[in-house]
Amino acid sequence: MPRFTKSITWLLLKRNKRFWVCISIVVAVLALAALGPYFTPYRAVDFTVPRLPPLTPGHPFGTDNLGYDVYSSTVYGLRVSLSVGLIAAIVATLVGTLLGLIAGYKGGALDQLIEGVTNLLLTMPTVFIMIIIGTFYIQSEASPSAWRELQNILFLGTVIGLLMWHWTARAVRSQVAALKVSDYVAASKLSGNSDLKIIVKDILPNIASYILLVFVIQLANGLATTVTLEFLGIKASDWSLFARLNQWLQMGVLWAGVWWAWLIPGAIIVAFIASLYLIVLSLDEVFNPRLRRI
Amino acid sequence: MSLLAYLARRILIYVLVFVISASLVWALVRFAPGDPALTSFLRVMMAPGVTYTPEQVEGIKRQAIELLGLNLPLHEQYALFWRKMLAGDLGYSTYFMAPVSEKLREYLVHDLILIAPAIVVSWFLGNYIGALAARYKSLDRVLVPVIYILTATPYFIFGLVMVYTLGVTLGVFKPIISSTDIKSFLYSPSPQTFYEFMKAYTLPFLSLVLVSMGGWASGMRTLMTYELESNYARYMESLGFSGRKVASYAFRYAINPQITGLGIQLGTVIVAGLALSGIFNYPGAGIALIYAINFRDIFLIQGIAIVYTLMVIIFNFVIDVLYVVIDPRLRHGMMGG
Repeated sequence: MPRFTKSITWLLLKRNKRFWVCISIVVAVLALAALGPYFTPYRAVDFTVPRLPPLTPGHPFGTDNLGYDVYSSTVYGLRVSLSVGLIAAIVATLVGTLLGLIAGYKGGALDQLIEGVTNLLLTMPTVFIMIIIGTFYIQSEASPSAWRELQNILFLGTVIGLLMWHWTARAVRSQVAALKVSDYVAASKLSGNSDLKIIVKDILPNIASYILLVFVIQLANGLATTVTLEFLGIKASDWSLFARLNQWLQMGVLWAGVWWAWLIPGAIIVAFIASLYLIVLSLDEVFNPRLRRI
Repeated sequence: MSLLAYLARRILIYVLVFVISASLVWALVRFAPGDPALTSFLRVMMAPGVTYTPEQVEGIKRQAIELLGLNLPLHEQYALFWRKMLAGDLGYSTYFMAPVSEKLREYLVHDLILIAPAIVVSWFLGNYIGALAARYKSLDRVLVPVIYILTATPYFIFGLVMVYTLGVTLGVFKPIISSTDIKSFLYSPSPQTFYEFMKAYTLPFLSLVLVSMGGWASGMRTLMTYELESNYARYMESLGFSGRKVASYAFRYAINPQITGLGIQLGTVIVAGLALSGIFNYPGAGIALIYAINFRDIFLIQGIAIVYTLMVIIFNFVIDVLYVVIDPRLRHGMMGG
């Protein structure tokens, strides 16, 4: 990229207030998940005094009607939910990029096969598959060990990722197919480079930033799927962010007026997902001259 | 390609998609660890509170295995699954103590009443708002965060906010909808029953519409922005066409991917709608699904998965037909006019 365009995009990005607000929110939520548990004496399963409002000393987010500390359940829950969403996004990006590269670069029968599977996954509601696997293949124990919990997080994340790689594959395939017929790839081919070298040295660096954007969107979608599954009762851990919501509903928390118990974690997850979308939008606007709005 | 050949091809593809999805469901249920089908069937056969001798348990178990066909070779079990499903037998729900298909028939009607109008309304509303945002830059500043926050909100959280503010605290609407609300309006429509129905129906409907509207609006905004920057739009502008006229042409182009998108998003919207209806105790498959997951009611989950997958596939086909009607390039190509 020439120096000139680089400085323009940087200038535009620096001026983009929305971008910086969203980046701060994302960093703050990640920090809350990573460091939050160190700032509370309670674990997510500890009972304390019920129905304390937010900002009570010792209970910054209050407590719910059973006496669970909302701050602790939020930070521990965030850890689980974010991990599942992150693993899903990583798996989807790895599988999707690999298959997208093969489909776009090799073409032919493999391309058709991958396209067929992609269309299948686009048409069928994959969430039902996640629900069946989540209900009958996750081993839930009364008091699971940390190792079992980690296994469940990895398992659920991988399942979600394996059912949403097609979005990445579709995006990567179209980019690779366009680059494949470009002059510089032809030149690289003429100078005797192998397919693998062309893909790794010539094509991947050019679509890396694009893959990163798709990764962020996949993270947002994976997280949204994770929390919806949690609400339905499919969870990697008993203190997943919204795992308790259903019990609360049955116990009538809505009528009990303990709104902070669901609104605070809800607002945090919405702010996080919305920020991811808006970051991608801002980067798109900055790097894509057709979308630039000055 | 003639219209008939096109439709036949699409039907063939959708039949294939359904066969693969249903087979996947069958395989996942069949090979689940701990044989949940047998376990839940035993729960139906054994009366609670009665102590059985080990021999009796063994006998009941053998009987259950035979009734479920688990003693047959695998390919015959698979054939049995299809035979039963095509005959409308989706197994027995341990939670409801009733055949699954009987329950689902009722739920499906209720869910269609909620989901189908919500999808249509949110699609039109979202595309309209997205186009507005792309056209007016000052409006865009306000709309973008609103649109994206709506898309980012999981349906059930939005439903909770709605139910708490409008339903519980302000009491404008009924926070919970019961099947009597729906049935009394369906079977004896009058202003009174309609009023009662709307009082309970508005909140779930509004939640579903507003959240999925965000998705359509953000997609439309991007598509319209591209179209308004394209050469034909610039050319029209330079000829002196009004902004309104240019936008109407751009809209015709930008709407096509949104129709395809409707088919792609259907599955997500329907499952999210099911989760949402859990908040309002909506008498559809959502509540049943949550119960089924908690009680590991395997036939109920399997039945919901199969029936609602079929629903998504049928909707997709309807959209394909609509697409031919709406896109002039396809319409003229196929209908010769």
